[in-house]
Amino acid sequence: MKNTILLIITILLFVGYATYQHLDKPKTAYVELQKVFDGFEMTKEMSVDIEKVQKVREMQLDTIGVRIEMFKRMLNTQYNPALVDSIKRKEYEYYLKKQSYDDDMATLTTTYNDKIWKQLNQYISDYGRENKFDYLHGAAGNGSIMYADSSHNVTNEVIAYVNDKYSGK
Amino acid sequence: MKLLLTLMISIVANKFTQRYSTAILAILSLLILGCGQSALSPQEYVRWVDSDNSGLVKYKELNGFKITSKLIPSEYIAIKETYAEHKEFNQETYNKKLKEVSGQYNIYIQLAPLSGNKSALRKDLASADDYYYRVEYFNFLSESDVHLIAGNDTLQCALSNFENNYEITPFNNWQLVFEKPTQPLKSDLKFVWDDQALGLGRIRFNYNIEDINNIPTITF
Repeated sequence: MKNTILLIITILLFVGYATYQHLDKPKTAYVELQKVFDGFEMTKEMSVDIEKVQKVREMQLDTIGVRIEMFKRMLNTQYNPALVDSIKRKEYEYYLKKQSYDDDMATLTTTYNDKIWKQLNQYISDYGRENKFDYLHGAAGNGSIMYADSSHNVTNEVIAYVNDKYSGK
Repeated sequence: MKLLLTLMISIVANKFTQRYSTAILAILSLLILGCGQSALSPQEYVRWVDSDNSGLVKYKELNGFKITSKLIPSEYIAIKETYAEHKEFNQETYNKKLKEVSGQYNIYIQLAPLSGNKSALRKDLASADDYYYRVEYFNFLSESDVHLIAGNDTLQCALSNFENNYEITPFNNWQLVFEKPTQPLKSDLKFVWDDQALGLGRIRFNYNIEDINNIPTITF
């Protein structure tokens, strides 16, 4: 009888200690940031917006390019100093516009990315809080996390969560 | 009425300990909540629309701002305007007001900083110009950045009214009106705002068709 009680107490102590150890462990997981970024609906929408702007600008540049080409063909048939001037002016215009568009596009992409990350940071932190994580690591492939067991990967759950939040449901 | 019934059912359910009676009663209460529309008095109606249970009030916290979006039924506006005019409910005025505002979707946005007592217009300003830009944006430019998606229709904002309360309150109200399309709504209503002033990016709020269809009627 005594032995049985002792055994039960030992088991209880062991279970209690194991539970304490388990509860005391911080709850952690990691997300693959690039995957979350690419799977985020806002990123997809912004990419479409950027593409639209890019297409309009390409068309504007193409118009200047076609005119330059036309002038060059005219010059091939008959030399005209005024035409040479026009070609030079148009080529300069093309160069300036292209440079300005490229700079603009870089700024636009950075601005969009900033806005996307602002929302992502908020939603991922909401996800961590709601799911009672102590740490949620971001694996960006830059050495911030060198190894983690894939069972701790919550990327897909996070993508679903951030898209739900973004859609404002 | 629905809530009272549900409450009564829950109380009865607690008294019975049998396994099945509790389950049956829980299902019954769900059915009562889920079925059809109820009728509310004008005051109850306003309280219901303002409550989180209505599904018409949505929140988002972003970049230190709390953004609240409320889909306001025309009846709500008509009730409020009737009270503002008569200080009590007057059905004739109500009907007149309702006729004026029906055919619109109204979205009320509230912008509030999550901390501090400055208004949304003054939160995290880089310069004084920033403040003037925000004022200009919400008063004149923002209209083209908001739209409502109703099925296949993308509705442009017909009227935008931003309340600059000059720091009297730590939040700003922004009322948006969209013209309703002629065909009835068959899918969720999606509000989209492409913010260009607070650095928030694209903000979306989704109103479920079920919640819209379950808006109660008004009894007089």
